[in-house]
Amino acid sequence: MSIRAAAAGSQTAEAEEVLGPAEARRQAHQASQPAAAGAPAPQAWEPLIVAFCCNWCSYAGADLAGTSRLGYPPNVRVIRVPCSGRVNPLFIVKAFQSGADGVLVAGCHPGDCHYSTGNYFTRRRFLLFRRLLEFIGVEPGRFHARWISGSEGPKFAQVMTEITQEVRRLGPNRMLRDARDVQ
Amino acid sequence: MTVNAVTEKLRQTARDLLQSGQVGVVIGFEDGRFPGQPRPAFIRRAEDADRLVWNAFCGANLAKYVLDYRVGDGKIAVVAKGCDGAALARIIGDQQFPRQRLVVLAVGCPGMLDAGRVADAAGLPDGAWDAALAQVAAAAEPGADGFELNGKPVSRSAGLRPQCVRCRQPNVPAALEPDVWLSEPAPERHPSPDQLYGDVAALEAMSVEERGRFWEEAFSRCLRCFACRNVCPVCDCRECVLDDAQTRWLGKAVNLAENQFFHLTRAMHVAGRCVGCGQCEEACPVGLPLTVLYRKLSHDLEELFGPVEMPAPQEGKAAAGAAEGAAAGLEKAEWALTRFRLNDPDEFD
Repeated sequence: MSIRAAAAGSQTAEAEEVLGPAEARRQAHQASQPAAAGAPAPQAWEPLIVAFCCNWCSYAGADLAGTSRLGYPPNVRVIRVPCSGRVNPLFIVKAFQSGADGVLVAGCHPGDCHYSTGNYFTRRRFLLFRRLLEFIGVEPGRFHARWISGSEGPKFAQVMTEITQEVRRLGPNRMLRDARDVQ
Repeated sequence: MTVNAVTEKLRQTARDLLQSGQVGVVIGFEDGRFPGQPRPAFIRRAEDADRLVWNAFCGANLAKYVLDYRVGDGKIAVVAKGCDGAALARIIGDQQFPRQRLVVLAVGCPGMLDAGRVADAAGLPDGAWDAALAQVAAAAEPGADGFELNGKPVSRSAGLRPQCVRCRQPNVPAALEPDVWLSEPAPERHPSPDQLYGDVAALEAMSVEERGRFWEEAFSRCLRCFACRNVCPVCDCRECVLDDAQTRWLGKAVNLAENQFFHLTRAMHVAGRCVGCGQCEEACPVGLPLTVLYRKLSHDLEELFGPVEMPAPQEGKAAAGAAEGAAAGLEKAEWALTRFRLNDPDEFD
C-alpha cells in the first residue's frame, strides 16, 4: 500500500488496487463533490502534501509546533533533509509522480542557514523551478517554498494549514501523474 | 571547383597545424551525402585537409566532439562559430576540457541556412534540391546577403535556421581568445524580443490547463531516444543522472510520466548553461519544441537575476606556456544556479 493509500484510508486502498492510485483518487474526488452528495459517499479524497524540511530550522519548527500542541492537518508528510539546498528539483517531480498533490520546500530564513549559504541556492533554484512547473501546466499553488525558523512553530502550523486548504481547493494533481497510471 | 576564401584559409591552416604536429586532429565540416548537409569531419592527416569545407550550411555544433578527446594530452583544433565558441567556453568552464589543449579556429557567422527553408524560399520542386543546393553551398560565401536560385532571389534571412534568427552571439566569446580567425568577425546581431521569446510568450498567455495540454501532448510524443541530450554540447557530465540504472531516477519505460521527468530534469540541468545552438530541436525525431522550454528558463533567469553571462575561462593562451599551465585552463566558471546574490528577489515568505 502506498503512502497515498495510508493517507486516504483503506476504502481508497481497495479501489486503488483495482484502479491504480491516480484513477482511484480522481473517482474519490468526484465522489466528494457536492453533486454526488446524495449517492453513498466512498472515502472522500484527501490531499497529500509532501514537505521537505531542513533539519536545522523548519524541522525544528515542526517539532516546536508539536511540543506546543498546535494542530495542523494530518495530510502533510514531512521529509527531513540536511538543508533546503539539498532538495533537488527532481525530488519535487518524483514527489508529485508518487502521488503528492502539493509539495513544500521549507528552510531557514535567508541569512540564517546553518551552512551559511545553502538556502540562497535554494531560493534561486526554486524561483526558477516554480516558473517551469507553471509553464508546463502545474497549477500555481501546488508547489511552495517557505522560510520557517526553529522558533516559528505557529508559522509552521499555519503554513501547513494554508497549503492544505489551497491544494484541497485545487483537487487531485493531474499534471505530473504516477508512471503506473499513464500510458 | 573554386572554393570560398574561408574554406581556402581553413584548409591551409589545418594543413599547417597537422604537418607541424601542433594538433592531432582538426574538427570541421566536409561534404556529406546530400548537398546542403555537410557533416562533421575529423581530419588527422595533412593530405586530407582538402576535404574540409566551410559554407552556409555548416550549422551543426562541433563543440561536443572535443569531449571524445578528454583522455589524452594532444591538442585538437576546432572550427568555431559563435555557438560552438560559447559551448566550448561552457565545457572549459565546467572543467571538462582544458583550454590549452584546444586550437580555436574562429569564424564569424552570419547565421546558417537550412536546406529545407532555402528550397521553400526558392520554390525548388521536389527532386531538384541536390543540384540547386550544391550550387548554394559552393557559391554562397558565408556572409553573403542573399543569392539567386531557381531564377528567384533568395534572401539569406528567408533560409536561416530558426535558432540563427534568434542568435545573439555570431562570434566566439572574446574570453575564449581564438587562436586563428578564418574570417572577419561577423557584425553583432540584435534579435527583437519577439524573435527571441515570441513563442514562449504565446504559451505564457494561455491558461495553465491549455499549457498543460500542450506539453502533455508534446511529452507524450517523446521517444526518449536521448538525442537531445546526446547532441547537447553543454550536457557534458561524465556520468548522466538519467543513465544511472542503480538509482532508477529515470525508469526505462517510455510513458508520459517518465518523459516528463526526463524533460523537466534536462531543462533544469541546462538552465543558465544553454547556449541556444538549437541542436536539440534539430536532432529530435518527433519535433518537440525543446528550445521553447529552455528559452523559457533563459528568459526567467535573465528577468530574475540579470543577463546570463557567458562563462569566461579564467585563463587564455597566455597561461598555456606557463609551468603550471596544466592546472590552468581547468578554471571553473559558475553559472546562474551555482551562484547567488544576497539581494536576489525573494518570493517565498
